[in-house]
Amino acid sequence: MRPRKARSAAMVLGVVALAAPLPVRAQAGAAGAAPTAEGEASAKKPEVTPPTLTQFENAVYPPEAEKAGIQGSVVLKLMIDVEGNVTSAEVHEGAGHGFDEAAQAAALKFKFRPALRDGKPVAAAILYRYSFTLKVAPAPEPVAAAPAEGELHGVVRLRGTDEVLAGIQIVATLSDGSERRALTDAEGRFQFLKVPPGQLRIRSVAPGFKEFKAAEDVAAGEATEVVYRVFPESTGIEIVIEGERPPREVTRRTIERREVDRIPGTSGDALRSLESLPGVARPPPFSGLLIVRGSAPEDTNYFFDGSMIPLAYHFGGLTSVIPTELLDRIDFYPGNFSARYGRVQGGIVDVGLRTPDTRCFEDYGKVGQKSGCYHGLLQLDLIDGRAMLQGPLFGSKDWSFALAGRRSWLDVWLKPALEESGASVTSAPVYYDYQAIVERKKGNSRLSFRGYGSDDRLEVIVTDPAAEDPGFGGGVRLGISFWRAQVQYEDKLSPGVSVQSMLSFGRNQFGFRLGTFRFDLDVWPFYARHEFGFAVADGIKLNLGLDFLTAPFTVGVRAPDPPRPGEPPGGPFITRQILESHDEGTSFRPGWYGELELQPTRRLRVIPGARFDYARDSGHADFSPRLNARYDLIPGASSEEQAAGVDRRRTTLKGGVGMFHQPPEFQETDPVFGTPGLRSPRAVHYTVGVEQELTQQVDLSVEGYYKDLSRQVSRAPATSGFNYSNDGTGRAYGLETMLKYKADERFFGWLAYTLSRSVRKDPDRPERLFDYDQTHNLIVLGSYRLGRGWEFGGRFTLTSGRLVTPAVSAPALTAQYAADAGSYVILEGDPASRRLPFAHQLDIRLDKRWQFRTWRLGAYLDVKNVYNNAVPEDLVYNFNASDEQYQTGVPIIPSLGLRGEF
Amino acid sequence: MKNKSLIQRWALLASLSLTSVACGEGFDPVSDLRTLRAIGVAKNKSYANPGDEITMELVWQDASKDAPRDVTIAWLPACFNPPGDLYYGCFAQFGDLSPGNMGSLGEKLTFTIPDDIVSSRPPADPGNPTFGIAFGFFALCAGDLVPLDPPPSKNALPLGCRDRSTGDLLGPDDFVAGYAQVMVSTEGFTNANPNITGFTVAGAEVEHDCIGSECARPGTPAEPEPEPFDCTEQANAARCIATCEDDGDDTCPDIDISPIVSRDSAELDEVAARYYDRNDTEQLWIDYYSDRGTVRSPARLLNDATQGWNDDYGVEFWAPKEPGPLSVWAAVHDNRGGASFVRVRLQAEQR
Repeated sequence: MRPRKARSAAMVLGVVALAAPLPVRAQAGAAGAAPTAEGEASAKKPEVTPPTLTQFENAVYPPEAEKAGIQGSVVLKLMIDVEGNVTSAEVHEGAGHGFDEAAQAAALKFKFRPALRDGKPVAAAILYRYSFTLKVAPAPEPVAAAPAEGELHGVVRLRGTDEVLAGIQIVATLSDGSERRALTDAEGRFQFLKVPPGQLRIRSVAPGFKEFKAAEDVAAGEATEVVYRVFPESTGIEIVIEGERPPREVTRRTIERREVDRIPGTSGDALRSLESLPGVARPPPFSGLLIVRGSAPEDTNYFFDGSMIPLAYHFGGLTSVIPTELLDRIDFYPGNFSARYGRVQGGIVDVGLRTPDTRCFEDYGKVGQKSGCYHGLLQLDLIDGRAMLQGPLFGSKDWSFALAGRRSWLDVWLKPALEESGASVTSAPVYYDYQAIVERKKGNSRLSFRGYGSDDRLEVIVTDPAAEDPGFGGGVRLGISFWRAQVQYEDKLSPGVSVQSMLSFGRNQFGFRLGTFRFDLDVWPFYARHEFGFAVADGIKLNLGLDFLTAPFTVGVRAPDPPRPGEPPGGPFITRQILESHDEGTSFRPGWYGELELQPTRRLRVIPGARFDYARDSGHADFSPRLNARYDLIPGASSEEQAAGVDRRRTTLKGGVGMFHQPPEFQETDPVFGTPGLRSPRAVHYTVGVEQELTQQVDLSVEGYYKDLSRQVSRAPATSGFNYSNDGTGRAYGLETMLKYKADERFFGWLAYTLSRSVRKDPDRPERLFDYDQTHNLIVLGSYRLGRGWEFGGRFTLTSGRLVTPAVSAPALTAQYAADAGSYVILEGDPASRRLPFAHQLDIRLDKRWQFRTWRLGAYLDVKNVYNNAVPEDLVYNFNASDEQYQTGVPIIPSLGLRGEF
Repeated sequence: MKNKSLIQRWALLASLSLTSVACGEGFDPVSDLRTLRAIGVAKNKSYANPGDEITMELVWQDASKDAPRDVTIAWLPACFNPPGDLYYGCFAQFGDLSPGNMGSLGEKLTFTIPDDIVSSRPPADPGNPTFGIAFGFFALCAGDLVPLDPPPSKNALPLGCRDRSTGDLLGPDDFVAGYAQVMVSTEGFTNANPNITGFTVAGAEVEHDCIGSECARPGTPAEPEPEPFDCTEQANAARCIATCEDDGDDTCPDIDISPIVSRDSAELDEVAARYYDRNDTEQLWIDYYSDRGTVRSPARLLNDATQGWNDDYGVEFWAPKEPGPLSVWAAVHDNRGGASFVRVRLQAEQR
């Protein structure tokens, strides 16, 4: 035997629990249960496919070992990220003699096809055996001898995916009882040469895979070709996706990080991507309104890590107040949400801030095996500039931090524009926001300190008041700001008990002056959310939570009674009797909830829950029972079944019914503007749906919903002012369809279609379509990585036109003259009785990324309304409503941005 | 002013886009008097006490191409404390509005505020004075007034205006219906109408055609067309302007026009001062109109409640193409129902 440098062999041993925090989708609801091993164990097991080696790297055989004729086998623990890169390679079982270091160096250059969970790429950790063997020198060829022996050539593949497997040991037992062994190479090939004719008994030996046995006949002078498919072991081999947990809601739509800043038409603004989901109506341009399943915009709330914030967008709709780079996830619940959310009768948007990134990168952006590195970002576009720095806190392994800030430079160019349009600008519009995160993460516990805030300011004097209502003129001052200091803690107190806590304290300030009108609000909200999760028994988990809000406030209002939807206007604001109200106090709204997660069988999951809320300002308590359930009519193929070639796609039925209460708006219970003692408006949500896995990458979901609205606040003229009551009712129902291609390395996209109808009924008026009713809403979008750093995407929307309240038809009188304002009041026809034409729009986005050795530069061009369609957004009239025309939406708007990161 | 640079125009467009002001082709401005129009209601009082006598008179102009023509003016009976203090809450009080029951036909509405207009109301909202409210409704019709049952809209005055020759209902270009209101309290709140003392054209004070309640007039007989005047006379020189080939376009030369308004017109907001110890003043603005040519902006701020007086309350006027007489109006309003008016006759001539 002559020693030669061996071709090293490798072996996937198995996939073990993920240990490191990786940027995969993490679900940790605001006050939701932290994922725990127990919780997961009681839940449905995820359908997983282990990572597959696609690029093998030969290790250097240690020279001394080679000289000494020593062979060895090293077991490595490889961390593989969602892109298939090996981020670390720890020695699990060493072999010494330089084999460990050589194997580590080679393994870090491997490329894998990432592990898949339910078809989505996920990070994973695997054990990998790297074997060093010395090849046997071939025996001299017999000269001119007749072939008296045969050969066996084969390839070993993974059952189900047909991926070739390297490092599988194949043992052949010859007819004489002797054994020969071979290891599959990087292409999964093996061979046995010069095999005596007869039957070979073949078996595979590879930890992490079930033993495979076969018998092959080898004939003299012939080469037999075989393909073996092996099964992965399942015992003790599991991928656990950090933070992933089965939903407690009927519908949770999560926008992945891969998608969140690439959706065309959003300028990379994460929250804007919500407008592309089913169930969400197309809002008026730049309004920032979120219209969910026929609910009023104020019926849907935004939570940032469990804390409600007063506004989601700067200046109402320009750009979201938390930059996309700091977001970890956006979970959107259009209805039938968990009992942990309350005081809302529409939908929920729960946004999570990310854990600071401390990973280290090698040259050209490759993720290294170390952590503890700092990262920075600088982004500039036409609207604002932002910067971010994150990394370990003072070099700590457990503590990390992130600091970010943003400031607009609208004032630079908007001030002269406003002045040119006739306004005297005292303070040009400007906004800024800031965020700070300090976090400690160790084992199962996470402690996070967060501070964030936002400020919008504008002050102008409008010297050309609006002719149709001169009250809209004069001094205009707007100031909206908020800040939050927040602490979050998550831990597993014992194997069966987990806890999530959030305390938040802050301030909301809203100041608005317009001529003689004003609204000043100063609130100091304190939120506390605690949730304990108890694994009561196998398949039973109990979540108990407290959701507590108290807020000292002062408020001052000077304005006429605001009009309500469907009510004829009472004339120009300037002619209406002005009311003034000043109040201070402390609102106190405690809430308690409990929820059971029952999984009696692997297929069925039932979540009964209830919530109890009290509002001291209204003096009423609300009890909200809820029930959600999911049933896998056809369970998806398990990993074992997939490996066995079973191609069964999951079909899930789901449904829910629940009661939701939302306290009345401030002005509705104010003694001056409203009627004290109003009860919380109520909605009962019903949802049924089906989810169908069509292929590994494509899912289809169809959901029908019905909302029964009762105790809605309505009003009627009284002897003096108005009387508010809970006599309003309404309904909203519809069908949502989403066909989604789940994000992979190249592409993501979806088709979403919503059919809906929403109506309201006030006691003194006939039922009418709700102002935001939108019958059809079709969205098709996709984004494709072209390679070389280029990515191109497009989004097309086709939606029913808005509902408007038209003027009465000519030739009758169409407007009346309000002499004290010097302007006309349009005589309105039936409310929301005319629908504008269909709106359609195409948006595109082009991204380019340049990767340099130590940093990368990105640029994007986002073009809204590419073909410059004049979308009718409203109906406008001339001064006496004798003529009308469409007010069209925004024209083509290109947006350009640059981003540098290290 | 009119030579906006391209950059500025683009900046304005971008800013409008970003602030959600969407685009439309635009209409003729409200300041262009080209039809039968109300300019305002001259009231002797806009804040009153119970028992006060109130007079309302209509200020209007028929600027249609068919003018001069006979115009019917009707004032309906005064209405007090309608439900919700909404003007359209009065319509149920009117009952039969057939001819003969329409109230006073003529240029004026005179009524007495009931003694119980305040005391009959429920207690005021906390921190607010108790006001009663009185409405006066008028109709200005270039035809014959008829009752409409049902009215075209819940908030529409139940009257129509029929063409005298065809019998067709006339639209808003030939029929103006409207209202004015008076606030009534027992706390002695007052509000004087703004004080206009004159009018300037291109910086020179000119003779006005009418001022204050002088500008109100009856419907019949029709107002005769204004006679051209001699621009060569020194006294008329300031009222003579050059025609503009671009016919009122913003490319025409600016001619600054402005009423002269006394600063004491901006009164203290007594409610804010008495109830909230705040020295806010009234909000005042000026509506401009012209029956030929164009004003740059139909409304200009005169006084802001907190920011104070705006000295630059005049407006630029762009002359018509055709020579001849024209009328320019300024209606000065305050946000408590006070108003005052001035009309000036100008003459465009080719130079």
